[in-house]
Amino acid sequence: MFAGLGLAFAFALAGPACAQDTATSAKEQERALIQVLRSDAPPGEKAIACKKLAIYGTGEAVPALAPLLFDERFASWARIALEAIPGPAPDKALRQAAGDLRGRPVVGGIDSSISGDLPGNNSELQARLLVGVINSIGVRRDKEAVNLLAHKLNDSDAAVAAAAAVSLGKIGDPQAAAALRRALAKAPATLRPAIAEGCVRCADNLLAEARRADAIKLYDAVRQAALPRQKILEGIRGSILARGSAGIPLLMEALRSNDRQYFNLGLRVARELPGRDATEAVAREFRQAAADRRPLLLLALGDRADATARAVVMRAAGNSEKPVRCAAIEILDRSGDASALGVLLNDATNEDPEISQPSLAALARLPGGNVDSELVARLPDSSGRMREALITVAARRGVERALPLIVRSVGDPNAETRAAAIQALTLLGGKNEVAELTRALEKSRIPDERAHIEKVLVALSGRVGPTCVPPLLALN
Amino acid sequence: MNDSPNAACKRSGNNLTRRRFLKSTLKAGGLLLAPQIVRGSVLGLNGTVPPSERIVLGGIGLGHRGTYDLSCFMGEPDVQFVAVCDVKAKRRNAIKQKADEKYANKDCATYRDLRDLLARNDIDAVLIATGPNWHATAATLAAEAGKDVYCEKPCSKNIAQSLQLRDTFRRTARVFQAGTQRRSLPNFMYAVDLARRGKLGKLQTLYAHPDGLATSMSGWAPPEPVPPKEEVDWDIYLGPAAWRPFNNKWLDGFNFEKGGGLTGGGCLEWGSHCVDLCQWANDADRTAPIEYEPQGDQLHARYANGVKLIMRDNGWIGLGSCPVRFEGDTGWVETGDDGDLVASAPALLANKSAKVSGYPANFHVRNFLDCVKSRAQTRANAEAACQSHITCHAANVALFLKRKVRFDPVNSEFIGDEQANRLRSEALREPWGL
Repeated sequence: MFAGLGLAFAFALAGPACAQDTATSAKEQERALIQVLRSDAPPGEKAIACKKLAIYGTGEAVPALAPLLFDERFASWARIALEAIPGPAPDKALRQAAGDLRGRPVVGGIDSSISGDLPGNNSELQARLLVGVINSIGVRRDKEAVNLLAHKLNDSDAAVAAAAAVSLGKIGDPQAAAALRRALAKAPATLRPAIAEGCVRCADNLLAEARRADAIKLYDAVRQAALPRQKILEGIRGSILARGSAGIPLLMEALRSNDRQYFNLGLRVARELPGRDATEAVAREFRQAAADRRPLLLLALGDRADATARAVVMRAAGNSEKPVRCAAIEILDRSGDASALGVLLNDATNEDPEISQPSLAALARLPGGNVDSELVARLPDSSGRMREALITVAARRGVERALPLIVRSVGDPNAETRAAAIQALTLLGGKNEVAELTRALEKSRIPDERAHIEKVLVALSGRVGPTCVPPLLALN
Repeated sequence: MNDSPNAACKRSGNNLTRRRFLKSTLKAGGLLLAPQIVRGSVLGLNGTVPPSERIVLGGIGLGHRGTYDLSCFMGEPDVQFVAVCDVKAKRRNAIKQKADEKYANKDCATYRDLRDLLARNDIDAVLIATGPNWHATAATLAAEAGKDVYCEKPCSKNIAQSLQLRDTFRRTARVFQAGTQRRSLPNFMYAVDLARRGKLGKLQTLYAHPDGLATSMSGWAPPEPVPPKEEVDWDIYLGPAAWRPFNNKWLDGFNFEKGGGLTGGGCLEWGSHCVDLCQWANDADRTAPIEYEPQGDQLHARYANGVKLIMRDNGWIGLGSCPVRFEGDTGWVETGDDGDLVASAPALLANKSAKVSGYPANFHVRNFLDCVKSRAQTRANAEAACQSHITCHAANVALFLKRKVRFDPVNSEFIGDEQANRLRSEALREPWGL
């Protein structure tokens, strides 16, 4: 694959799988890997050793990994291991590094001709490595680091402060929440979006741990702060969802907003907020909304898929302006059941193909064992467009029980019904239908009818194959 | 290489337009027409689209696949492409030329650093088609910046990234579509529909073809002189991947650090399509299998509902690349990129629609654009993509460890298996985070 690559690459390929094969113990693996880190091995070997320590390392590997956090070549590799190794030792090493990185020279030494554009001076490099360490503390959700991170919120380097905010959010305990809320109130505008991100992440974690009141405080702080639009929207979303039914007024505010982004957020949250109260509120809004918003609100209601929403969708499918009706049919296609059969059949007979065709498609996929029986039951007394629709749907659903009734429609006086029957028999018919049609052909004296039957027989014989020959031989 | 844009164009006959597909599918009474009907008459897309109603799009990392995806976007009348970001000068200049020719102006802006593109308030959505190394990180940055995202697959490098991606798109309320376009192709949709609606009886076994079931590892290559930043920005190219010196052979993007380095391979590359379809067929968009076991050249997994998922290389009817097969206790169906469907009984195929071969992405792109307007979940939304990617990553962990692993999809962790659990995530290089 890569000709001429160094020993490190070969080592990488052979690595852990080889360890499995030779049944070398994880402990021995770890010792060997630590030795690599402490040796004069080429950089590539040290990097891959870090990666393997992510699987085989323990607290014993941490002293060998920790110094690498100060080396721009290996810091990211070392953190792969330190994030993965369980126990307190990696946490302690990361906290220690977070405290020391600002005051201690970091190891650069990468030849600029092969290093890319890594930060040039020591201070920038320190800050960048510090960001990595802070990120790892966040991933490990180290609660003992909260004070340290809170202090870093005031770091002169904005990237460091921003990383601290997000990591505090990931830790997500009340102490982290307090630090973030304080910072949001006083942070410069450039840092505020990162602190807001930390706040929302923190509030999400608090909510997951049933600390609803604390979460709401944070969400509210974000939605009321001077922030870029996206962050405010995230705060509003959290505020609504955390409040449950009490968040409905906020949701309605969004759904009534003339601001497109705010309205869009409402459409999203209208799908997320649980409870019948919420469905009823969205349904009320749907009924009174401007025409261009009604289809969008109905689609949101449709995704709620509860009984109240279903009733609204069914009414809309039966009787509403075309865009809303189309939206309703789309919803029924996705999530309708046998109760939608009647309304969809009516829509399937509509003269507008943008209504009838999707209705037919929805009917063809409508779940429920009794749908097929109902279709067969309705066929004998049907006529015109309804008969055509029933035949089409029965065929697409593969309802073989409908075939005897469909065979009779081959001679229907209505041309479109005949066409539907021919299409259905071509799709679904078998040996029995060949025999039926052969008998019908023998009896018929009407030229048009004979032509239609012959057309079906030709199509059917092509599909049924040799088994259709005996009945066809009976023809004169 | 799968999903080659040229191959996709050729195999779809180059003439396949959405309008043609819609027309033929309408005639055949095909699948899922309603969303497209709704789009036309409901969402304000009747012929010309006023500028205020257009979705303003930016692109990040547009190489071969990205260029193809972009052509699908730019074929939609309600899309205005305004900016491209790529670490490679040749690529960003080529995309700019393409966009400027299309709009007969010089307005397409170019960026080397994605943060600069994402800082633009006028951009509504981004197409991300970088290498897999960047997908989750770039998508997260975009969502945090308030952009909706169409992101090529594989979308994540490990289980933790899959979860973070899902959580980010929940938290930010942005729309996400994974570039798993087979979720919007009629033959795959039809087969999945048969499984989901019980037409095959009780589902028993799902087969996927993640070609190249083996783990691979990236690593460290000998240093070479680094090109000027304006030509190739190596630092940004490396992005969240652990640092290593420049080597030209890493630059293909497509394979670089896929699957986080320790675990990668076809399981993720193809599995993000075919395993994803099996997940969908099993109504498992919010869960993942609970057991994974390598068996010869196959990987056997099992869901909590008893359904088996078998990833295999051989035993297919021959319906093109990326085949899937769904077996229930009363019937089965198999399909692939040729667009054909084969089933245990003709009646199962009575409702199938017009054949579309060559896995074009335009229907999937359209679904994304519709959802940007309606704020509905896309077909390959972040929740679904999260679980299908987790399934691929968990399978890869079993392949890498060469043994059976058990997984708890509720807590997204392996059960009593520290080694496996350590492979769930990997640190990102500074300053990047998720």
